[in-house]
Amino acid sequence: MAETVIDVIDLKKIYRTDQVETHALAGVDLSVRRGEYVAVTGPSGCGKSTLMAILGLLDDPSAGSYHLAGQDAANLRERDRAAFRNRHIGFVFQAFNLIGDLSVAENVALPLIYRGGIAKAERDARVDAILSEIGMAHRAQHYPAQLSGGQQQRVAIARALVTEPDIILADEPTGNLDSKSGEAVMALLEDLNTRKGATILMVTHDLHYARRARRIVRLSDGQVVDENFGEAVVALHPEDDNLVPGGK
Amino acid sequence: MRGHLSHDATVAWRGLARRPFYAIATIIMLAMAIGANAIAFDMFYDVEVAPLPYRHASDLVMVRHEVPKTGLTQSIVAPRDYVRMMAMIKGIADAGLWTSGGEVPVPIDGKPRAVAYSPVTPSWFRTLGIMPAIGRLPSLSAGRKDGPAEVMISYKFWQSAYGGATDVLGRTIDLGNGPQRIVGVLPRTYAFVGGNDVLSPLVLPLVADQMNNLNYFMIARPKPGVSLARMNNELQQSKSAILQGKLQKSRHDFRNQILDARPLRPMIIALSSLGSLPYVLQGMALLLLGLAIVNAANLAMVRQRARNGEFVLRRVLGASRGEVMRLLLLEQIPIGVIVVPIAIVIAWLAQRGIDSFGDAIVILPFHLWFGWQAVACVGVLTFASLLIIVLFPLLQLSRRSVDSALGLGGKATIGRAARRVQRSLGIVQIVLGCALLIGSAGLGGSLYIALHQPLGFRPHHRLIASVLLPTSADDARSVETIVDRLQADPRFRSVGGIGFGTYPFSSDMEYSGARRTIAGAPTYHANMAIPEIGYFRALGLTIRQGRRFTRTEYLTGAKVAIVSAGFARHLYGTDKVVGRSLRVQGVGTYQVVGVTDPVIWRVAPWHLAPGTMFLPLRSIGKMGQPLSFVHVVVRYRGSVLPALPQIRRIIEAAIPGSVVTSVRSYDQQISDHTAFRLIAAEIALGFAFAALILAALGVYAVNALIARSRLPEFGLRAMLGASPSRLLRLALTDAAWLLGLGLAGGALGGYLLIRAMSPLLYHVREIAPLVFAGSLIVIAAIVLIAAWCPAAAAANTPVKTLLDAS
Repeated sequence: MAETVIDVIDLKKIYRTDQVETHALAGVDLSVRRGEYVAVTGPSGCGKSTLMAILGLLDDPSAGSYHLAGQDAANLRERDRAAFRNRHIGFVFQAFNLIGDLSVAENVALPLIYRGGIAKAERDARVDAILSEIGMAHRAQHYPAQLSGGQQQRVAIARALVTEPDIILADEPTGNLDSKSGEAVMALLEDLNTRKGATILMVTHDLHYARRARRIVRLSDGQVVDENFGEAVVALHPEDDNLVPGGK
Repeated sequence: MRGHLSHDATVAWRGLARRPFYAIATIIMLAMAIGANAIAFDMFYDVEVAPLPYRHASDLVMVRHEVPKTGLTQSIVAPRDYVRMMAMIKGIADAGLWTSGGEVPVPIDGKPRAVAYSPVTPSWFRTLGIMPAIGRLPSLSAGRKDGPAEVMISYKFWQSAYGGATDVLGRTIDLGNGPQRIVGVLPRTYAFVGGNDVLSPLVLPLVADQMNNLNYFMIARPKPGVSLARMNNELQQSKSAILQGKLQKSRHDFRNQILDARPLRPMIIALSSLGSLPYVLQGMALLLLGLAIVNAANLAMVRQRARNGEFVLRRVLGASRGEVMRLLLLEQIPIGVIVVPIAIVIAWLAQRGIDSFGDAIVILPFHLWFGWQAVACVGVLTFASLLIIVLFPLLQLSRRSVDSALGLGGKATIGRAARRVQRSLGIVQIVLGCALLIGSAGLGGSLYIALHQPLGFRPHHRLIASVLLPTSADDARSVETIVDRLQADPRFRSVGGIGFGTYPFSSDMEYSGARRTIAGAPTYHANMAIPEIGYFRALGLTIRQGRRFTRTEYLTGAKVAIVSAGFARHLYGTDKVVGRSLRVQGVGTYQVVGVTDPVIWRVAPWHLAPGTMFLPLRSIGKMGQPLSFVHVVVRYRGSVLPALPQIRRIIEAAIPGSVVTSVRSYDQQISDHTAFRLIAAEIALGFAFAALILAALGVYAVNALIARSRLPEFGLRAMLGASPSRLLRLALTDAAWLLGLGLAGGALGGYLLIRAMSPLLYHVREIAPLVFAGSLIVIAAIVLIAAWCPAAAAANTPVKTLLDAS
């Protein structure tokens, strides 16, 4: 059996204001094995983004345990988190989030620079290789503003892959793309998963794209309410518009 | 690591180049402010910090005997005071006397040359710890009647008069009282307040009158371990014994006289025209820098907020907080690299401008020159300023977590805390801008008015010639001969002479005591001019009451006087004084026959201007010493240039053996005399201009950027139904709060600044309302325009566009 990359047990996140206590995550159990392609889906406010933030070490859980690549990731000190994130996680965002002042190659090289200890020649080689792999090598010296949305997202995926992380966290990666570009990006993710064995956890509310994953985890009110594989999960809940392709 | 650093540096540079507004605004503001600081610090350092050219100068003190009630406020003593102090004050290790001897014609290599000399006690050199460049110091016995006649010459005089020849030692020089042997050359750095070509021995005791003459500077070196307080205590205890028989009429008078010792440097500064100017200019420059820093810090915060997404993303990708902060710090390096040379060039150009005034701004013994300290000041201030500027965004960054990273789009509105900080900085901007504008415009305007006030005479188309007469000449007759010869030349409209003493805007100061002829009337010290009869017409002096001297009065030496209106008001409390009597110390009793308009003798606060009394040259006699130095005012026709050599030739032919030390236009004389204040006025007005630019640039830029960052909020409000006029009102209400608090603080700051500068200001009551009102209106207009423009633009922008601005 493949090694577990993410292991979350009874994960809770509570936001407190003066008088109100909001349970964004109310005891989530989730594990992701190496090479899996998991989609997390659910209605707005179900806790997807909160779960993503905690899995990405961008936020602290209120309770529960979180192990990433076999290490306790819930109790890392702030200064260790950046290095841990850099080493184990690749991010793909809905809004691409490329740095406008940096060229495509520089954007992709950024995580390697922050990792440190990698010679420039090796860094350049890895950037060239990954850009070639995603078909963006000819755009290496362009700036983000000179690229289409689909191309920008491919660059963002390249940036997520360049450190060969244990897992790629993709947050609505097709949210800002037209259907053609979205398809292309999804095809790229699938290809990376099947061909290179990349482990991917994708948050999306679009079932059309969720079904491309091998496993779908459905959240509701901060809890995992379903965990199923591919098309099966849709069949189980035909009444849920959120799981119906083209639903609201 | 090195690659990482160079990558960050490249990115920082590129980021600034691609969005240069912040960098350009910061560079302009800092370069202006730091350049101003460099030039101000240069002057401050040279005057307040640089070592004086004496050994252990900080130990030296100047002893002063002042009688404020009589207008005698120069820090001077009489030789008899000195002799008594040397005997009575045990805390003095050594002390010397110095006085200006003026200029005398001295034949050097067969050609007469004007030589400035100063009689000093031989102990002067030991007290100041002077080591000769060549030769030796005069022996102590040179200060005794039977002692050797030994003099020291200055390095500059040695070079110019003797070509730096070493055989100058042993040669003699005759200053009018017999040949004296040159025994040494002063070091190149030596300088005192003036008259330094030759330092001749002051032989004590002098004749009785001269022993009481309050015309000597006394510098003392206390014994080791003797504090200034102890020395002053000794002086206080011995005051009545030291001053006995001089100036006092009763015990009460002693209490009104000051006899104490003060540290040397501030006393020399007080003697110069500098006063507290170095502090004022440095303070203003620092305020200017404060304004620039606050402006730039506010801009940096706005910029940083716009880049929050980028910084968070970097952290998501693995950058530590320190690495992101380092990027922010690295961005300051290119700014600093550009600011430093620009600020140095600004300071250098300003120094060139000051240097263009030439000798007119030489203030001995200080050497005002552009030096390493200005460059160091630029470096240190640039580093410190950029560090302070980046501190605000760094603090913001250090508090920010990455928990919102997945929703990197940013908020639609500015957070309350961020807005509070920005508003506070905005208020500080307005306060500093207002205060600086008020202070610098007040100082500059005040000096400008003082420099352009009515002089009481007409200097245009007039020349002033200074003549050293041979000691054998009959003084009054010589002046009249010179006047007659010049008057005979058709190129000159009118000519007038003036004897011993000074003339308006001369480089020397000469006060004489005078009092009303009633019992117990106090003595008052004022300028005394001793004119030949043609003087009033030649100088264009206006007689507002009474009349000029008649020819008969003049020729018979009648004791009649003309006084200025200022003098009359000081002494009599009214300017209707024709027919009143006036007792002039050492000269006799005069009857006032005329009153002139106030005559400006030198640029000074009006309440300190002592006024002038004019006594006919023929009425004076010898006054205990030869006139030797006389001046002639010539009103010329046509061009000035041919007149200059002509005057020199006529005078030297009229009085053989005389030396015309200078012939110059009166306008030039005044402009040289006022050069330093003119520079101060120009610097202050430059500061006012810079303050205006910085305030305008900073306030406008920051308000505009804040307003731009509020566009999504405006869009939100518009979406919810706010009308364009309501949006405008919202922007202006915000600005009004800033403005109200800022203007109140600025007015208070300006008031405090004006108050601190009051010793330097003239006509402050007249100009203050204008300066305050003008400054506050200008700043208010800038703030309102800065708030109005972007808000008006936003009010006419489609709501969707505003929302997309987030």
